[in-house]
Amino acid sequence: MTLQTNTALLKGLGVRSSWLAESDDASYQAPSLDASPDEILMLRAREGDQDAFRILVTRHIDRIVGLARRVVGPAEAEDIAQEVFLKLWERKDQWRPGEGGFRPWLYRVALNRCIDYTRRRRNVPIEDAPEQVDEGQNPLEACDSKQVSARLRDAVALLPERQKIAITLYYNEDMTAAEAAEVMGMRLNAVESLLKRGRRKLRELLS
Amino acid sequence: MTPEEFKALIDVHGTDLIKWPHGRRVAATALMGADSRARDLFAKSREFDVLLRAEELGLSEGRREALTDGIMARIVTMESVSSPRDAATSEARGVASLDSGMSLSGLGAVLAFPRPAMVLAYATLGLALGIGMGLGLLPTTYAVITPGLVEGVIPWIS
Repeated sequence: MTLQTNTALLKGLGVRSSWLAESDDASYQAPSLDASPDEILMLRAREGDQDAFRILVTRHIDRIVGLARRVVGPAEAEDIAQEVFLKLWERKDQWRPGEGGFRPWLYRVALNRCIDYTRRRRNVPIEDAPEQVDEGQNPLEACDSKQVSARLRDAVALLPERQKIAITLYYNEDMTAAEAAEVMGMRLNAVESLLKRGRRKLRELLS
Repeated sequence: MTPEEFKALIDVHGTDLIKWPHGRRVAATALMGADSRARDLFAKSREFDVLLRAEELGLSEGRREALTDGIMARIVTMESVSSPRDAATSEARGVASLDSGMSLSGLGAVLAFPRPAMVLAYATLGLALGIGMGLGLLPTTYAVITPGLVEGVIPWIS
């Protein structure tokens, strides 16, 4: 499927027409790749364009590292993020623009990777487990905002896995409950229940 | 909206009213306009939301670039390892060559030929060769088989 054949699908996703236009006008200048929407970049990546994929990585890697820090822990977060983007590249042919945007797909792959890590960690004998980074020893943590982040991260780490994921997607990735439900593959009311219980538990832990 | 419903919605959705169900935003705003306890609850919950949204420090520019370079380097390696194999697989399936408009010739054309059609072609060729050879060798066949029948099988039966 080429870029042209996906035009209708992209319009359906709300991608601006200026990204889709192919003008005969000699003065027409295509928008720069850097400013292209994720869906356009992913379409190009699917056709083997590594420059387009690099922009996607640069654009989203901070969020994926942050998500992995919260759901799995800081020690493995960067490794997870790298694996997520490699998995995305491997599976680029499976991405269909008409089946939801790029972001939910990215987060689904990332969460699956996080869950794999947490389950693998449970099976690792304690003596083989990777050493956890002691954030409290970091001198930079004298800064208030970092202390708050560390406190919150410690509290979130104590939540059951699904509550942790729902809370992270809702409050840190700024998704709605419906978007979080889509990424988690759950019903909306189940995610709302996770949000309610997670928030209550965090209030206890942080008070 | 009752104060109980208001509290229940905050427990689920927090204080970002944009994320609340469509029908409940206006009712919540109206309740806060009329009820000071609802306003207090909202203000306290908002403080908690700020805590929940506390941002992690992002990656430094250098670290982000190093991670991105690492990912792209592994992709280049993956592609260079998988490309020759993929090309052969695609040719065998008759997919890549036909899609890209590459010319089919020699062994490539044979490999790219769709499998059921190839089986049928070989079967037809085999049948034609068999019949042709059978017809061509008919006198020889009779010459070999008839004495065998006369001298071997018939006496044995009798």
